[in-house]
Amino acid sequence: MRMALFLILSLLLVAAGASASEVLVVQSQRSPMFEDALKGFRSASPAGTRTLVLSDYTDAELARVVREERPRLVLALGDGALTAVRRIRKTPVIALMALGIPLSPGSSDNLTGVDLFVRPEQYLSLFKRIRARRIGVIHDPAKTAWYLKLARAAANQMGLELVVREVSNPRQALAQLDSLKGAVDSLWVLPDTTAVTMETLEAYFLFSQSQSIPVISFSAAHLRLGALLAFDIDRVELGKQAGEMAQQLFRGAQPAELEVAPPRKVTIRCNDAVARRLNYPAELIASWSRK
Amino acid sequence: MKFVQAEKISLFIFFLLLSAVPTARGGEIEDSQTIGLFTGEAPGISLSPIPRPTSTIAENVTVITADDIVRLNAHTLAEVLQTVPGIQLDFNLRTPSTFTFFNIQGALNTTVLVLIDGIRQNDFNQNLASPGLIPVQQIERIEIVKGAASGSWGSALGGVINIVTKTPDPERPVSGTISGSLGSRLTSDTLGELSGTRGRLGYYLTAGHLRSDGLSPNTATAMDNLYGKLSYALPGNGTVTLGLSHLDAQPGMDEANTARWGFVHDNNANSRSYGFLRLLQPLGGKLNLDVEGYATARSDHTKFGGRNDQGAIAYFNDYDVRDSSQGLNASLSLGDSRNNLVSGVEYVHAQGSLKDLLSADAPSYDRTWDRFAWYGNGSYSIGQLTVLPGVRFDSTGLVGDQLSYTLGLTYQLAENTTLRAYGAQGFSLPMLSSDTGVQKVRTIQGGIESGAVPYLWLKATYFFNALHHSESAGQVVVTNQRRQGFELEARTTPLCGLSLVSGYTYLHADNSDSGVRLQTDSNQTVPPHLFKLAVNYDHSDLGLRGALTGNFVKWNAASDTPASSAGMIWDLHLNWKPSPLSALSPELFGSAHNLFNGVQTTNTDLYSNARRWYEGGVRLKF
Repeated sequence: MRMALFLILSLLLVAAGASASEVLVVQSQRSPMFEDALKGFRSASPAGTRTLVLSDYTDAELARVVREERPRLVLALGDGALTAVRRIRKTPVIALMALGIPLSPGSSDNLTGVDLFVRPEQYLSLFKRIRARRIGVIHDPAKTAWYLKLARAAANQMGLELVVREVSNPRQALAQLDSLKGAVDSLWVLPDTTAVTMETLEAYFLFSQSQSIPVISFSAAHLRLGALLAFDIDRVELGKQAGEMAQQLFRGAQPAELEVAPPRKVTIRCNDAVARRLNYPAELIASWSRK
Repeated sequence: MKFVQAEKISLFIFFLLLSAVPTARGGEIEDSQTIGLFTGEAPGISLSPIPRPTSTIAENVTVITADDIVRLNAHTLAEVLQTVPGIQLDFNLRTPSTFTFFNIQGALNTTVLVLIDGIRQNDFNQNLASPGLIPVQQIERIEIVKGAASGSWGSALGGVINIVTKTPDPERPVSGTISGSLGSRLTSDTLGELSGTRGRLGYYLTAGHLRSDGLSPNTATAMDNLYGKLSYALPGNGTVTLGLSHLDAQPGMDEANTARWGFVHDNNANSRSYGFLRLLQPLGGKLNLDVEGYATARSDHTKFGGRNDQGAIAYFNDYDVRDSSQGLNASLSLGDSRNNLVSGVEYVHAQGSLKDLLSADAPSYDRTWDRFAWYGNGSYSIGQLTVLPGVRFDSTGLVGDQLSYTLGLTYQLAENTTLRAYGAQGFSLPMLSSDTGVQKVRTIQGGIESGAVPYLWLKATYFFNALHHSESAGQVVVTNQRRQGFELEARTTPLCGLSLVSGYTYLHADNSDSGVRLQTDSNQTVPPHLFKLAVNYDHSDLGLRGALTGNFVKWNAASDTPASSAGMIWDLHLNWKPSPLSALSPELFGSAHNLFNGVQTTNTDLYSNARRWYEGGVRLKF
């Protein structure tokens, strides 16, 4: 009994000494992708953080955690985390590493963040350099209509034509891809989880091979599958961007004043073998490779 | 035989169809997909079997979510428990809502505490909570602690089933569900739910009606359930919640086959009511207050009878068991999920009586008592090691004062691997009807849980329970026992939407005075081998989900016990939402129960399994 009382008193002292963290990091699951972003966030924001990994819980009762811990800010890493933090209405939320930030309804007053969509102009300038005019795009309007709207406007300005196919289900992607045969001279792969899944990803590059047209994609991981060019997003830098946003919020800015930002540091990567196969000039290939 | 072949062919076609389903997905954005698309790597396994981090749970815990329940098309808690490793129903699923004993690793449910919203559901007469009388529509989560848990919960020698009910939908002013099903022997389950939040006020209301002409003898049933919850968000992040629940059931209304000695109706009139008022209030820093006042009322009629010389029904007994309680629980918690301390007090004033209405004798008992308890428990993490001590003092009002304690340890060996150990001393109250004195247990558990093997989640637990003064059901016998064994659980990561879940439990129980191995009989259930298997299927794009569940038990029955465990019992559940992307799409569902007419019961004279039966229905969420 004495031992039990001693243990309890010890716990009481330790627990009482702990203080609330300024930033509650809500992470969908454990992943090096999220760890990189968090590293960047911490380097830009000195605020104390506590991390909650949702996949460790069946029900993390996030609203209760926020109520109890009262963080000054919630950093949501991943779409699962973004969905979970929608229940938080007052505490400012910065979302990161999530594709659904621009779609996030209802909680926009306290939500801002950095999304994973490189600006369309950056993609389109690449298509222009490789002299592609008819660019095939497959997307799900429910997920990326907002992005296509920006892309269409930019394409008009740059004299490019977007040949758009819509899908509402991943199963439709293959048929829509097939319908692009002969109608396009390049393919733009968007981070749209209906249009592109782990199962349909390869089909885009098989299409590219069979039609001998280039693919520009959103991830350097696709180069080895056959993409000609890809934008590589610096995840640590993405975290730094969010960290700087956090500092602005701590200084008194309101989340609604800070627009959701695109990633600011991206690198163009090139698959030299694909470029050679598609007969692009060596100087052009070298210029991409240098970047 | 033809039937069996037809069923096998149906199953084969089912699996063929599943394997032909495309693996693509859409709808909600899932991080595993995003990570996979950006990194080109396949998504990893996610460890999320418990509501707290796996690294800070020392006990052997299983958690069932509302999604799991819907996948099983379950009507009552009994159907859910039957799928949990280590748990076995004595009378394997007859008509939904009918009575059954169950055991957790050989611990009879008279020693398992069942809580809903923190309120005890066990009666005081036999300490029983009938899982058939707990509808699942209002359940958000079920947390099952296997093994002694008295350090936190009091009288809970065999384990705890803690049921958390749904909370009001915080996003919308009005949302809800309507659902109806119809099956063999006009077995139907109709229910509706309304949920929403307007300003600071949230509400959750549900009503359900279950009825059947009876899928096995003497099990025609009718059950009505009402449940409501209002919660109000207080200034300062506090919440006050008012909950009310009422259930009426009349299982066993028909009279068909009788046992050799007569017959027993399944409790042919049950009534359960409770209400609570709960305040959750942060007090600053990491200090939180939780206060709950509640009242309960229960009544059960059980009739025994037989046929007289003229072949007409005659009743021997009509037992009227009633109890009620009024209580107050209060606790303070300090800290976060890694370092915390919880301390609380409980007080309850209870009344209980048992009277045979067909007898002129005085009631078997009619008494009131007061119980008081204090408890403290916490967790303290140092690096990868978490220490979880707990102590509880109960002034039972029935069997004197009891001190229970626990000490748990967990160590996170690697990111996906946790070692755990747990020791406890606990107790259970005796049945009021027999009053044989307090039952005590000392338990040790140890195990490992790991997701380190690619595509697999594995869990292994060893358990040892030394019981003193263990009280059986039936004709009450008191013995000292040892129950020990191990439990293995495995789950695969989904492949093409399919995942496998399995659990095996080995139990060796003996009389610790004589050393004789215990056998399953009318007084106790100690199955040495228990095996669960489930094939789950989820494909959100196609709106398909389902489960094929199998249960095997070996009873090790005494020679004079008419138990039976012939083969596996298989159930198939399918759910299909024709327009999965539409918010208002109805979901069609159907179940085929006991596909191959298996028999698993501890007493074939009294309770036979429902033979193969079917049901189908539709649910609409709005």
